[in-house]
Amino acid sequence: MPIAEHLKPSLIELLLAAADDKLMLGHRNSDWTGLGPILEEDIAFSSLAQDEIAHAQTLYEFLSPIAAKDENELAFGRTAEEYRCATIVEPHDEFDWAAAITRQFFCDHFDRLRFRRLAQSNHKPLADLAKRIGAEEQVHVDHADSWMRRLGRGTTEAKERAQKALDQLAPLTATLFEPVDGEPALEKDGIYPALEQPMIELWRREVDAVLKDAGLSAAFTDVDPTKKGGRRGIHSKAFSELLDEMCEVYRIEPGAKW
Amino acid sequence: MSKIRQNLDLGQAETPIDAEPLGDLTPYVVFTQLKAKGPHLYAGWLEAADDGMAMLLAKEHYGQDQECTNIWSIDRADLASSDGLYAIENPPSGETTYRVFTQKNKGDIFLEAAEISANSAAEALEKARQAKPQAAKAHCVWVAPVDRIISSEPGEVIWRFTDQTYRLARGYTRSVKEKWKQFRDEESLNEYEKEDLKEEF
Repeated sequence: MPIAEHLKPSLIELLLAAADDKLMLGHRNSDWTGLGPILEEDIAFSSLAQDEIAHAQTLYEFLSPIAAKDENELAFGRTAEEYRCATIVEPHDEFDWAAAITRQFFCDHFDRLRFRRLAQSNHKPLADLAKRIGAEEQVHVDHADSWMRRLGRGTTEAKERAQKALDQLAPLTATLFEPVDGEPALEKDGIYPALEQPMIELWRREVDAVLKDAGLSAAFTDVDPTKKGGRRGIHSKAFSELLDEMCEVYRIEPGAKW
Repeated sequence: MSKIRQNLDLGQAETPIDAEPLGDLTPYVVFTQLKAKGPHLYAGWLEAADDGMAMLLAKEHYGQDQECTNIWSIDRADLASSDGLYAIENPPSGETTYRVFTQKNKGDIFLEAAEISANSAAEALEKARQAKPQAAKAHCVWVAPVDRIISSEPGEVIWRFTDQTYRLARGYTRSVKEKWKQFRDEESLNEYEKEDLKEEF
């Protein structure tokens, strides 16, 4: 089913949120290249970071004709207020492995559900794309779950570090669930159909099950619908710094071909 | 990658470079099957803390960059080789089914060749040499108990759909060639346009 003209601005918001989350998370996690806790995980985590960036690229390419903007312009040519990523992907993890894994764990479980919803979209090209990304998301979830269990069941130090990371990051998970402008209309129209239960409930059940298995816990906060955050262009100071650095080369000559 | 890495204090190496290796990681050998019903081919080695981590990393390192239908990983301690390099640390007792892998010539990759029943790894190697033509002529033979080979699950996604071949030598070369072609084509077009304009004005 083609997308109705009046729904296009909301769809752009929704897909920018997905792409921006992935671009920022991939960018942050790529900082671990060469610094992973063991050689094999160093390679694996770098690959996962590249996956996130590749997924973002695919989503920007999909959006390009709808938004009438080149995919590079979408990725690097916007002001901070025009990005739709959630606050949780913005801060640097300060090279704390437990923090990096915990953030990846929260975001991967969220993405698996997000792409499950999009895979049921009545807009077939979007559903097909979401199915492909969703299948790879499972690999990410398996990887993150495995590490959460390892940290939780590991040494006292590993468990303490994992719990500290969970305590710090759990309150930020609400930012993943902040709706973009026009999201109810996309849901109603079947472009972004609802799941069998509210997404946040499914997500909490999934992550809680893994954390319980790992001997860890997290205190989540509810989404405050009155508070505007990343999904509506309000970002942290860390984000502006991240963006300035990430877009440094692009801004020298926008539109340059590589 | 961000500039924050430049300020990272990596400290001093805690151990001298000639120290004995430490840690609880175990080497695993990985085989990938590129087509259903095809043989599993040697892909490489990795180190992991246990079987679960080994399969996770095997999928990341060896599965995701090329389309494949199955992955096996085998703990080095479960491998016996005809050149005596590897021996099974805790051999299974009684008659056991072993999977046989053969290396035709020195430097070739190992291929899955057959299954054989034997009472020990040494017997499996001997029987393989006698009964299987590929093993008889092979430069080297490996055997591993079938029930100790870790396999990926059917239907699991173990390769990427996004093109990340730029990370491999062949992908990088292709990408660079394409960029050069694009550059040369653009230059030729500019020259043509210049000539064309000369004629007009």
